[in-house]
Amino acid sequence: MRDHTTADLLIRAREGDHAAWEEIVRRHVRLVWAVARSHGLSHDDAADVNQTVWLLLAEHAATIRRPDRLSAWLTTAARRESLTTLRLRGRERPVDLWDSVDEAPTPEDIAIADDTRRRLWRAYHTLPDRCRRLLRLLAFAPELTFQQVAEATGIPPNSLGPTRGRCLEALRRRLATTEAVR
Amino acid sequence: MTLLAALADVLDRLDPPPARLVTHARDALATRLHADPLDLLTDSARTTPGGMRGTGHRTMRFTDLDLRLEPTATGLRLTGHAPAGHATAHWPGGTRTTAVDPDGWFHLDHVPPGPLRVVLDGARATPWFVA
Repeated sequence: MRDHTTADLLIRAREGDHAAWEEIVRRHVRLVWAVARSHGLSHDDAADVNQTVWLLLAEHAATIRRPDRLSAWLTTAARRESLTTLRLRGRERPVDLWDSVDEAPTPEDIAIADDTRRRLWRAYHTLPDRCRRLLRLLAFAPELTFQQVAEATGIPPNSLGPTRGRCLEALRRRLATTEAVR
Repeated sequence: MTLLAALADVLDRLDPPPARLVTHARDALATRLHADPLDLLTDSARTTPGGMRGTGHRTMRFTDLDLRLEPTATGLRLTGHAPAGHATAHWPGGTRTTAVDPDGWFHLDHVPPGPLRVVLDGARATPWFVA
């Protein structure tokens, strides 16, 4: 299944092909999770959003007009459900793994054996919310168009290019700073 | 490896999708009903500032179904109005069915929060939504 296009997999899944469906899930589950988490939803709320998006896709697989744009469809659906869930349940408590930057090494830190990864993780978490959300989406769905990213993040399309550049530059700068203080 | 690819790698290691979520996603294909859609027309959670937290309940209007959701100590209470014989709440792993009274009203209690949809007469279904 790994050499099939997403459009082909979607057609097979519509016919009830579970192997095709599982391959679609394997390719996209990180993206849907990233969109929900980048909206500041708690673990449990993000899990509800994810499950709902996959249930929606299963039901609507037959009516998706552009199967080649499945990433965009999933991103849009995940954002819509994330925003509704935020309104219903609110943001997660501020104390989360996002805030562990200045503390002693956490289990997460220890899990990252590689020092480069640890520094990147810390640099990422000192970025503004808007940058974290944008970069997370771009990292998992590089194939999205500017328009699709704009819709998913709420950043106006005409400022997306400059914002992307500024966020990447800020990440590089902070990464360099963490290297300097070692 | 580009910076974004490295970031994807780090995020995937430190905040990965939970394993049970991947299992739920795989199971989703089996939930298809092939029912006629009841389209969502309005949802107070999308239009009212503060959503359900402000008013204590949420109202949703679908084609042929008005729905009100209230949180209680034992789950959600659904009150609906629809031209139908019976109504069923579906959530992952469970359903609950009740008769619709002659005036078109029905109640369903103890519905777990999370993904939900309502099906009328087993033939018409709302989209899944987070309740």
